[in-house]
Amino acid sequence: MSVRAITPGDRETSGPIYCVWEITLACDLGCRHCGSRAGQQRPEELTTGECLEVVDQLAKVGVREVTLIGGEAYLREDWGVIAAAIDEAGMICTITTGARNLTDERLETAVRAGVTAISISLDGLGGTHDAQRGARGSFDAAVDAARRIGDTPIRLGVNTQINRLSLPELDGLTALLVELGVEAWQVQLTVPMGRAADRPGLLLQPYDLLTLFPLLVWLKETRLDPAGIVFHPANNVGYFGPYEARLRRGGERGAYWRGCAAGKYVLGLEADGTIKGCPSLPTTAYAGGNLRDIEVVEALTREPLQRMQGRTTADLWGFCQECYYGEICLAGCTWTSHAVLGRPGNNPYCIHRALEHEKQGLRERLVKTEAAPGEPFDVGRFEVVLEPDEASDSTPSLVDVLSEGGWSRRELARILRADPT
Amino acid sequence: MLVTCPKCRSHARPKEPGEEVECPHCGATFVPQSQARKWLVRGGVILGLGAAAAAGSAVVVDCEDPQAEVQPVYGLPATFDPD
Ligand code: SF4
Ligand code: SF4
Ligand SMILES: [Zn+2]
Repeated sequence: MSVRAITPGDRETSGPIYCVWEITLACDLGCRHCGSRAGQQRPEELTTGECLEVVDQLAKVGVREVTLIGGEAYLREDWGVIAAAIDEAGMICTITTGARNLTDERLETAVRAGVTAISISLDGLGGTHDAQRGARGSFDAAVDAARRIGDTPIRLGVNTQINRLSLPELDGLTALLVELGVEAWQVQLTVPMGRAADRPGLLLQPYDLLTLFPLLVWLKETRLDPAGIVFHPANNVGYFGPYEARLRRGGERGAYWRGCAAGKYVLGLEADGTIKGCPSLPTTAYAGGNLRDIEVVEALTREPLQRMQGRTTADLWGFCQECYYGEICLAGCTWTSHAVLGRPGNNPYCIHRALEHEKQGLRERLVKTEAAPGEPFDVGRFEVVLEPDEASDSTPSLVDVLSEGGWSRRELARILRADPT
Repeated sequence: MLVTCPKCRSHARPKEPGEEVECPHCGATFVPQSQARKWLVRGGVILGLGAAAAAGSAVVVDCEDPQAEVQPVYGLPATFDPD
């Protein structure tokens, strides 16, 4: 059983079992969709001693797995020390990375530290990945790192942002995953946070889910399943409708989306010690204090983490308030709904919702109304426009891109240009 | 607890035990299997199932959530069990 499976005991205690920890904001990429606007390290990142203290606290509250992220985790000199401490404390240590400079030496450090698995980010093929990651050659470096991980005892996964640029290349990308022999593929929708909030043209529109979901089912059933690659739609890829049982992990055994786990089973830490219920949540609205001032166990009993543990239908508004699945779903991913509409409880990125609108000849389109201020994990604001589904807009049709065999350089640059608003 | 529609595999929400469910997506009506089994045990089954069949219902399996997983998007896919 996966260490991340929620046991009956977990349901009783509602304690965190999984933590995603940004150990530095320094990064060797410049991703155009980066939610934390990573690049430079934060002014006051935790010291090695403070990090080791945090490791102890995480183990004490019952965390079973810690995923190290950045920025780029390996840019911190002591990352191997932190990883080894996680392993020694009896927790699983995993890493998510862009792998631009995941050298043999760093891989050796990971092996020595007891890192169990590494997930490499691939957001499309060649030029599409490089353009989104802001560094030419980053695709080749990531693929090379994936091959070298294959020669170590560390297990290999790939994660992919789904957006207007990567969607037409998912087919080619899955062929590469098979060739690389990855064990699992996780996909997530690009959410308008940080630099992605500056580039609304990069985001899928809610009605694009009608194209995406059948494609994901096809890729899973014809390409991933036969190759033994486990498909993981992340928490913002949902919800319900005819695809849930076919896409959700465990769906064939009856598993389905049960609501956001932030603050309940999940914790997110920022490199300066800020604690949140999930690493992706906007810092200003969801910070539950700083681990320099309070312990993890104490933060769990305070707002806003405590409020997140007891969310109800009282949070719901808009379409989600009237939804057939509202009580179970609670509007899907809190991060996604907050990043789009400024508060949780109403989530336009939902396939059930898109299908319900389609039945009435309608669709929802997001229009940006407020820019993000320009800080890590910041958000702007969007408005949902409900319109007839034959309405035209200026975004290029994904079907056209597919039939033309990929993106032109001009189109890549146009979509990735930051919005002046 | 949700059940899956035998026709389109969407999830439906049974209101009462033993009651027919209507799929919110395709409109098919069906009876969750574990409820049908309960009728069997009580002896009223044949009638119950017969009535369901007569109403054009299919019988499907209840959804359990045997391995729900926590999975925030930055996280690594949780296929990586320790053993
Ligand atoms: S419409 Fe909202 S509540 Fe209903 S399934 Fe979608 S996200 Fe969940
Ligand atoms: S906010 Fe979204 S990504 Fe974070 S725990 Fe909730 S569902 Fe998962
Ligand atoms: Zn149905």
